[in-house]
Amino acid sequence: MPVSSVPPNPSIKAAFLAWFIPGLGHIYQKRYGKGVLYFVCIVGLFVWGAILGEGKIVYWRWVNPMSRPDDFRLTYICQFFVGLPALPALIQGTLRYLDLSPILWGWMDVPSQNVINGMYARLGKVVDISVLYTQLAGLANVFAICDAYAGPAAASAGASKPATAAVAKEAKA
Amino acid sequence: MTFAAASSINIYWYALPIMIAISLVHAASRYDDWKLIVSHAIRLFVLILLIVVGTMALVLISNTQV
Repeated sequence: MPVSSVPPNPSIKAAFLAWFIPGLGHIYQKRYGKGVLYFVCIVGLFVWGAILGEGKIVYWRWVNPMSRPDDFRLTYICQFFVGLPALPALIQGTLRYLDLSPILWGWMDVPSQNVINGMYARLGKVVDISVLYTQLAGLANVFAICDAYAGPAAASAGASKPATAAVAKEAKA
Repeated sequence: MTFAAASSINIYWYALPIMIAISLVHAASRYDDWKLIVSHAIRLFVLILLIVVGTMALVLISNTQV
């Protein structure tokens, strides 16, 4: 696999694309290998988690967390960072808040408490695991977004050596 | 795969994909060189695994109900 190139400047466009679809920001920067790696790891975790949770664990409610803490969906804040795969939940939550009908056949709409209870009865702890998968996918994409914006946290050996040599030459001159 | 089958798998196995994915993503966010990414990911995976297994062993040892 070819060695990816470090992005020259901080790129808000690449960061946005990395949020929108994990890995897309890196593909935009022609760092194809890393783009594919991020996509497979992050979207793979998210989709597998959503499948384990029967598609009913990613949803959002517009409620005040201070007045209705039990209904506030804190987990979606992590899931949100997966980008497009989690966006239908935000749309459905907004439609519900505006008293409009859900779209996309209610996909990622807020499930009723009976449905959630039934899921826990059938799947047990797997429901919690599935929520964890989707949350971690979102948090992992934060790493990817930062990488797309400003490059890797630690310069690789191949990238840092020429830079160090150039600095040394400048110091001598 | 049925969900009944999924729920019958020992729950600890679900930690493995998370460990692998997090190790790879973290390593990729730190380096651009593939050799460094792979070696960092392997080291991080082993470290996470040791911490999880060690913690689990401690909990089991300290659990008086075992």
